[in-house]
Amino acid sequence: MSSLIVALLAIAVAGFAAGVYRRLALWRQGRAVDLPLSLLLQVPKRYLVDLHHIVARDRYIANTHVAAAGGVVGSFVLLVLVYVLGFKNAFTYGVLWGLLVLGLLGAFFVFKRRQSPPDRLSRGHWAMVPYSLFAFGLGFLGLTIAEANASQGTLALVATVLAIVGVREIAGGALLSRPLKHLLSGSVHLAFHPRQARFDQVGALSTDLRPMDPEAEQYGVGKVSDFEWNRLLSFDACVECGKCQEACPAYAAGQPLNPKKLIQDLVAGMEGRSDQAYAGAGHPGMPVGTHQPGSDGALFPSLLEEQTLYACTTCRACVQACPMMIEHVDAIVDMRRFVALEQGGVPSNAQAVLQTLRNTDTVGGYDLAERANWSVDLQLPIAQPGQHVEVLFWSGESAYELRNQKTLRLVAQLLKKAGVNAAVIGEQELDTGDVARRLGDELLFQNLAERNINYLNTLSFDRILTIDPHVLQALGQEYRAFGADFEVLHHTQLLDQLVHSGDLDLSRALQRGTVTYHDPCYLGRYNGETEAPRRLLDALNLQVAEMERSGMNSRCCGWGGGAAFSDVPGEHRVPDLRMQEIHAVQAKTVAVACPNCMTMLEGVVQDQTEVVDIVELVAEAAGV
Amino acid sequence: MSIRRVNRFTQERGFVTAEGIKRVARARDVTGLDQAPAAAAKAKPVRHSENAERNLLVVLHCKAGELSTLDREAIYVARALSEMGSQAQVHTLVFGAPNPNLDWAEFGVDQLHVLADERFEHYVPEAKVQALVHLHGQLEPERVVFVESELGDSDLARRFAIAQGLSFGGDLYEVTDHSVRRLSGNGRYQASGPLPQVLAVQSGTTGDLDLEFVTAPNTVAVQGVDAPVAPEESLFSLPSGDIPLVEADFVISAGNGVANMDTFHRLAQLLDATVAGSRVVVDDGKLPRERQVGATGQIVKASVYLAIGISGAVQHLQGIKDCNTVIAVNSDESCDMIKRADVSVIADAEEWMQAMISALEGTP
Amino acid sequence: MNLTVLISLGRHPKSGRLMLSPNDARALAVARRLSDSPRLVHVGEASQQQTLRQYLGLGFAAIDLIEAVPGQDICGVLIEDLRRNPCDLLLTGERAQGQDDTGLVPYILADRLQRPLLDRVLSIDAQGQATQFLPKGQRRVMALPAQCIATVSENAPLELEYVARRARQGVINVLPGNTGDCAQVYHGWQQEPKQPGRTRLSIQSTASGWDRFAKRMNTTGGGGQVLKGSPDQGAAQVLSLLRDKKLVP
Repeated sequence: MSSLIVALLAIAVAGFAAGVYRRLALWRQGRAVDLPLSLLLQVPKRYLVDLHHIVARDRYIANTHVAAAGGVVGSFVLLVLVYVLGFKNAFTYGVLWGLLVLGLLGAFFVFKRRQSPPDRLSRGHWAMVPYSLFAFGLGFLGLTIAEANASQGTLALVATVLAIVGVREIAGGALLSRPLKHLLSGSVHLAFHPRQARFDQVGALSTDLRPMDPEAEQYGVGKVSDFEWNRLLSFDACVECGKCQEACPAYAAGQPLNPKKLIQDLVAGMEGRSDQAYAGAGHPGMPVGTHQPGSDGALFPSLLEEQTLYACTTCRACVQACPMMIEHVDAIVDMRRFVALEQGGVPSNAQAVLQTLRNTDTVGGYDLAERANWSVDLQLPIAQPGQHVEVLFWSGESAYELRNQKTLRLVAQLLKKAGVNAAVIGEQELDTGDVARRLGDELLFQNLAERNINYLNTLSFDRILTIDPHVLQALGQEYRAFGADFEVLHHTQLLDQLVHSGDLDLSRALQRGTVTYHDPCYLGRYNGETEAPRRLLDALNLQVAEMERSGMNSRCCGWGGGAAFSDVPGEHRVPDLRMQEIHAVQAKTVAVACPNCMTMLEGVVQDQTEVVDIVELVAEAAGV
Repeated sequence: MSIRRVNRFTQERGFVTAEGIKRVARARDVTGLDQAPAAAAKAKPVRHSENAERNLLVVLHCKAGELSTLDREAIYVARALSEMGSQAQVHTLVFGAPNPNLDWAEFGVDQLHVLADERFEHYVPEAKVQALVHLHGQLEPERVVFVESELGDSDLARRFAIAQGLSFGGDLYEVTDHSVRRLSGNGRYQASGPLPQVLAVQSGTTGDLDLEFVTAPNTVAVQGVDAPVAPEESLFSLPSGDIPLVEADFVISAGNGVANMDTFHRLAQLLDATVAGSRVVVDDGKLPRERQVGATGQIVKASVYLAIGISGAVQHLQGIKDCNTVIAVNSDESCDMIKRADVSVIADAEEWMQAMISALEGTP
Repeated sequence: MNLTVLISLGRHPKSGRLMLSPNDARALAVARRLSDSPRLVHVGEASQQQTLRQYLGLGFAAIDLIEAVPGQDICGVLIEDLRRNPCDLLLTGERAQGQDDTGLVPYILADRLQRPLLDRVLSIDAQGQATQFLPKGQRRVMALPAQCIATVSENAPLELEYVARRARQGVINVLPGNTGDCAQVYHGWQQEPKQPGRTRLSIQSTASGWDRFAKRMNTTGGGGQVLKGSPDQGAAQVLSLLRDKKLVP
């Protein structure tokens, strides 16, 4: 009996080792990355602290997983301890059985969850997992009890069969590409994660895209082997939980993008097979089982379609939700770089925007000389090289837009009231290039970035102020890779500081009814700022109702990632869905903090809710 | 201190008509103010031109026997140039048979040369140049005036000028007694120069086309011209459903007030008009994106724009500012589209469309 | 088919930046349906290569850049080159967008090279049938004359997908200029930044100031008729208006 158990353990170990070998071979199709092996030592801390922080959002499954995974892994360790190393005593047997029972308890809750599973979970192999876990637990329980009582017979036979089923699932997951491969890929992924900065502290944000070498032999990712190996590893860590699918605005709108399916498509590409085996929800409008990688692992057009890629708004709701810390947006942008710069296939309206940006340095084809026109009567000087200003006011594309000029002007008037020394940039202010970068035209972005940075370096200022979170991200984060080191503030942050320090007095009362705040993706998820706008709303004594999807879980308005230009058709429109959520909290007013959210939400046909920028409320209260 | 005038954004300006109705001005000049004194109608003197020492020639194409406003502007240019200096005769060469009711005396033409051979209706530019060269040789005009059009005038003007080695000025938007002006550098520059021997004018070079005199024109059929060999060609019309909005001449457009798109499409079919819609209708998926009219959609330059159930948001009005006649149907009398339209019907969109359909189907 | 396309550089209407000319891109769109490797010819300076790469980015492998100095007559240079490199079909855009923009170059070439010219082309199919643009949704289809020059209409479809890799990989052959001349009649245009407004030509009036004022005031422009009443009445009135305009039989 003992030897049977040892034999099973040996099979498990061998199977696992084979699995490691196989998975490594799959991951290493990707390009080399400069990361030290010693990172593997970080896995325990990262698992127990950083990952736990994310997984603990869903208490039920977090506890279930502790029981199931802890029980199973613990049992293995104890089995080795008892039967291979020979530490046989009442204590070790007790711990062993305790762990096996714990594993069974976990398995039971997994089973319970699978009785009426949420739509986001995959069926197929994943539906079998609780049974395999039962098999493992019962099998080894039976075997070890039989061994301890030195009995044989049918119980032992049945237990053996069950144990084999269990071992196949758990130890064989990596080899057979079954769900429990995540035991291996998930932990290795924690070590070699593409964004190491996410582990600097718990909940750390790392959102800036990595620049591309303009002299590279190939731009972006067009086939599986173009990905870096740790990206392929990250796709392999996917447990098909579907939290990304649930969070994705494009999926909700019925556009042909499902982030979970996208990752699984890339896994299929990595494994060189079609998506036939996929047992979850597909990309809306695209039947499952019709896509496979092209020759040499080519992604387009047979495995992934351009419309899937360009439906994404880069809102990072998927990344925020993912318990395996997979970076969906990075993968999409890498692939967009290939489409935009190597292959062609960018949606035509988005192409037109890139052309306009290339020829005029503005998104809408405006005259740079008119950049400061919005402020011409507000006594805001144009920044001159050598003359120091406290705040450099970045106008952005809003300088040319009727509705958003209002936001700019109110901010300028409030700055004047608070006595802040500010200046605008004028015709040397080019577009930040954020739209170009998100659409995949990295060369255009780098061109604009370099020219902007060169000019900004001739000016003398403490901080840059912007009303646009996309500019906040570009100037504050993305430009760093090109040598920039600017302190950039969003207008809600600056206004919050002014209110707090008493420089701005919000004395007038507002009659506004219920107000709700729509967190911009690029302010909340990208830059972590969800509190300053709320402090402002607090200071205004408004009746604020929070939507279900707010703060770091805010739902996108649909503009980002060039999606407003790509305009990939779906059953609904993303801003209409957000407006429904706004109506659900009976808000008479929705405060936004981004000119693009303003544009998208104002474009929704409805008359129940007024869309205002948060500065309009502040200005009303300040008597401006 | 000089004040720098700066436009933060373009604004449509409005004015109030004699009836006290607020109107929104269009791109073209509009005058419409209060209480005008009545002008007495006078008989115009006849201007004879037998003692003319010089000639001017205008070259036009008649489309279905009619002349466009631009054609008349070209004649006016020639007439104006003829008024400067010694007495001159204004000749007009017309390709295609003109409608007998066209009042050439009112237009100011002294002699009308008609080339009505229907073989010239085909694409035979070389033959037209030959006929023109022949006439040019006979008349030796000081200047030849063409219009810029996509019907063949622009093409003919250039062929002719180069064939004869004459100085040419095309796409002219300003003609004065001594100079002409056109755009260059993709609209950022202007090129001005002395009056060329051959002119091709765009619309808007002249003011009011009313002359203070009439002429005494006589008509001659052009002789001595070889009839061209008509090439193999076929003319076809794109079905009105396929005509791109930028080209369409008769557009029917649906807005939020159209509840039943089936009625709308039926009416469009009966009228054989090109279908379009406002942004709301396109966003709701009732019409494809190429059919959207407005600042973020297509700019329409139709002769007739039939707007059904459209409230007239600023961006939509920007899309139709070059339309000749706007007919609006809306139940809301105060909406901006009614203020913009030339003819408005205050009625429920569905009822009105049904009435139109039964009127159209009822006629034999 | 031996195909040559003439390309020029334009300027953006707002920023004035040198860029490819959309009209020439329309000509290229027609060309690529007829030939896999049309010959692209540009007359200009070697310093314009960076901008010319925008054409290569559309998916073309090479451009022949014939050097010329500013002020030199490009027609003469082109005629020399075209005589040396004959082609079955020469395609151009309708007019330049950022230079003199008169649209005369194809006509001068047609005259001096004694080639027929077909204007306002929208598309040419593989059988040599050309579709010509006419306003109001009309089209004319005819056979392409042999050895002709075809100008592609501004209404032809525009295909402007620029892919950076193609722009980088394409080749620009800088060819030496020539001293070709084509005896063109020049006019003496003076170029300067556009001034707003224009003077409308009008014959000096002999009427009195009062009469002129009266005349202007009487023409109430933009007169809007508002019809209230039953939908049937409204329908009848609109129908009669449409019949007057001959839009409805």
